[in-house]
Amino acid sequence: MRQRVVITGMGCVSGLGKGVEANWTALRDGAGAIRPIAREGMEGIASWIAADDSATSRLSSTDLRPLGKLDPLSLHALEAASEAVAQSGLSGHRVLHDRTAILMGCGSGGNATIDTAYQRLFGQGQAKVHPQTIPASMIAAPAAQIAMMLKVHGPTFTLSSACASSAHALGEAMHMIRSGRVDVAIAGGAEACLSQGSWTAWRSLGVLAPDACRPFSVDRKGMVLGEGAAVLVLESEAHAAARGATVLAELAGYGASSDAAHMTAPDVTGIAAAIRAAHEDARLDIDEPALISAHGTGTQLNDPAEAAAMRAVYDTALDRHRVIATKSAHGHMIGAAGAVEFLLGVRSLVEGIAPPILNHLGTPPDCALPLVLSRQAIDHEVLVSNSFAFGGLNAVLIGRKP
Amino acid sequence: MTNEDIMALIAQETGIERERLQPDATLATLDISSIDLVSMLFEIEDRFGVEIQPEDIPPDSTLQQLIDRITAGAGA
Repeated sequence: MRQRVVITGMGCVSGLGKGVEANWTALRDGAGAIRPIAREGMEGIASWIAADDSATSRLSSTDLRPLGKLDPLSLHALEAASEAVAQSGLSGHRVLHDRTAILMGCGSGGNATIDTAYQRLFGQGQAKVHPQTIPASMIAAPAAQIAMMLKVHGPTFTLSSACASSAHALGEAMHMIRSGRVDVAIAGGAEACLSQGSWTAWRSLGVLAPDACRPFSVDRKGMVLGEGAAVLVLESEAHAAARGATVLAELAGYGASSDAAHMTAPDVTGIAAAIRAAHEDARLDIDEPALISAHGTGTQLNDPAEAAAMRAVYDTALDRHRVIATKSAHGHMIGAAGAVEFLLGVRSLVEGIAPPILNHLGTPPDCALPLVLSRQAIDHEVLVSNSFAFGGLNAVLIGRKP
Repeated sequence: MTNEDIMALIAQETGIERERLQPDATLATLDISSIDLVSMLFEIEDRFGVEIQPEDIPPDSTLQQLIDRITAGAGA
């Protein structure tokens, strides 16, 4: 019999706030974090984290000093990891020493650090950049710094699959526990894409909405970027039980697929394959009522493709499910998206409350789904959380109430 | 450029509290690593226009020796 994997800690930071409680409360109450961005060189809307929001940080200068120069990407990741590990009760536990893995998902590295270096180099014609530009901006930095902060000596790395990075990280971490390689995994993702260079590149791609994120809606004009991090503590059920830990939920399944078709256009067949694989892995029938946290970006291409994939998989059982799309509140957090959406979906299940999809102006026929358009009470036992990425990289996670 | 300007910069680059940065403390006793030193020298060059090679500042150097070196470089 395979080892069940449970969640014993969660932490996150996003434009909605710092900490799971702040994020959940805002989401539940229909608050959105998308607003005009107040950063130099950037015009438009995003779900951004104010720089002066450090008053409530869990991180002390004693924690941070040995970690070197920190990009906002690392600060977000460390904040979320601190919260998750504190909740799990594993701070200082011997399991962290050698039976714990760290898997972080990031779409890109420390963009602000790279911007600063390039500004000196190309903007000011300087010959040198800050000596810590490489270690501070590398995509592996958040995973390494979490390990240093918590003294985790097990397998530690960052994986990257664009907008599905942290869903893949959680899924692969689940398999590391199932296979017995580790007893605990600290897994999730982080992204800090709201710096001028990254922002300009996203704008140039022509996928950013000027007004709002409107998943599965008429008049949707694109995605809205967000930043932040979400980290979960995963643990074998046996290990959690042996130490009397509180189990928040189970990470019951993971399905991954690659469209192998197009760099930016989603593929219905590939998406459906990932959803089916997740159900099979969790041994979850497609007609068991589920809360579905959609990828739901609000772009022209994603939403109808995702809806078509759900119709293909669930067929006549579709209306038993309820579909939420939390990017309408916290924006598209790229590498952190899969983890933050799974985390908030788990919280929805446990609370028995489905948060509303914001900014919805009406459903076009090709996006017809059982959408949650105003907050509603739910009694679902399971969560299906979809993440689909550029490159056709798909990952679907399944959570279950404890 | 005052001694206090330099101390403030060292505090900022190393993350060490200003109170701990006494003139007779050495880089080694303050646990200032080579990457911290290189980062500090980068900022000093940027801010004060004084270029110092990290190999000229061994770990047993005191902060006062570092400050003297910077001040001498600025005066040169």
